[in-house]
Amino acid sequence: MNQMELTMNDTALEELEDAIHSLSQPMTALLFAVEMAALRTTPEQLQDALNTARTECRRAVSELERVRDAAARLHAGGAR
Amino acid sequence: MRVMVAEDDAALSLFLKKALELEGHTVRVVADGASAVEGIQEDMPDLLVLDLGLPQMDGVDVLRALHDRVASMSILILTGRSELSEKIECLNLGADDYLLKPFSMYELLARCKAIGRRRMGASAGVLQCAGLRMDRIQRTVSFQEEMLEFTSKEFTLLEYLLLQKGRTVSRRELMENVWQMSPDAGTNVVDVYVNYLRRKLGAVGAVGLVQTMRGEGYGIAAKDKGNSLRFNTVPAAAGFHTALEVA
Repeated sequence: MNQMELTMNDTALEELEDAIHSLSQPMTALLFAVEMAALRTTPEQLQDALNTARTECRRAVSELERVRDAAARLHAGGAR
Repeated sequence: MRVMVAEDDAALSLFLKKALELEGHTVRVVADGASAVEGIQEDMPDLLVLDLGLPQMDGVDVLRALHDRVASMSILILTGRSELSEKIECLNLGADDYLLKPFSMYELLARCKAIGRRRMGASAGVLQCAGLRMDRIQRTVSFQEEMLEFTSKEFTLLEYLLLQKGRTVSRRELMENVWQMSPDAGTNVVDVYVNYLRRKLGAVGAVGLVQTMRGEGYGIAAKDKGNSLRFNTVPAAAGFHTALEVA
């Protein structure tokens, strides 16, 4: 592997690490949302908790796309 | 405990705040490293929950900037990265514990509790005065072996007064440190809660423990060498944190 390929690989690896880090944020928020929902009692509170959980799920899905892209780039040797 | 959460993710910081408040902690939130350092220099929390990926100044830089203060507070690191070198660096810079995202709310709360226990030590966990015994770790109060039930706010008020034993505490100070409200809020909540405390203490025979110093505030008298109860005329402590440190 030449120097240029190594640099491209390093960049792709950093992007993957960044994407995983970004994914961990909504995953934590989602876990909290669900755990807190278990403490709620009224239907309104539960609905509110579900809405929050849905928002965090969507955020996680979007971050997961970044992970997939970064992994695909790494697989392709760092090429965009 | 008084907790500062330094986390730039708005949704997550809101959840962290709610979860810690559920446990009875007083929480303030900052969204970047510079604000965390500034906030700690102004008013040091008992516990800093520090995300490493902060804007402006990252978590490691915050630890470096606070190197002379880290020994005075507990630090729990949050991060989305799992590098061992980063973990070791943070612990070497004074962090007490480390949580890798995603983590459960219950794990966070358990780790905060464990940190609090380690920080306080067993002796400071118990406050006593004239037959009254408060276990700050188990959050129980007894008077001459009889258990007493207090609400969270009543417990905090009694804890504060016990920590300041021998000193008159003004209503303003109680408003700021127990209720985290402006002393100018125009409410008689302090008087109401002192009455609740007195009623519950009085019911088990602990009459006159919480005294009123007319025009000054409230206090729990300390025993002097002659075993009589007295109040000091020392100036007000810097806050709850100072009281916790000297306990």
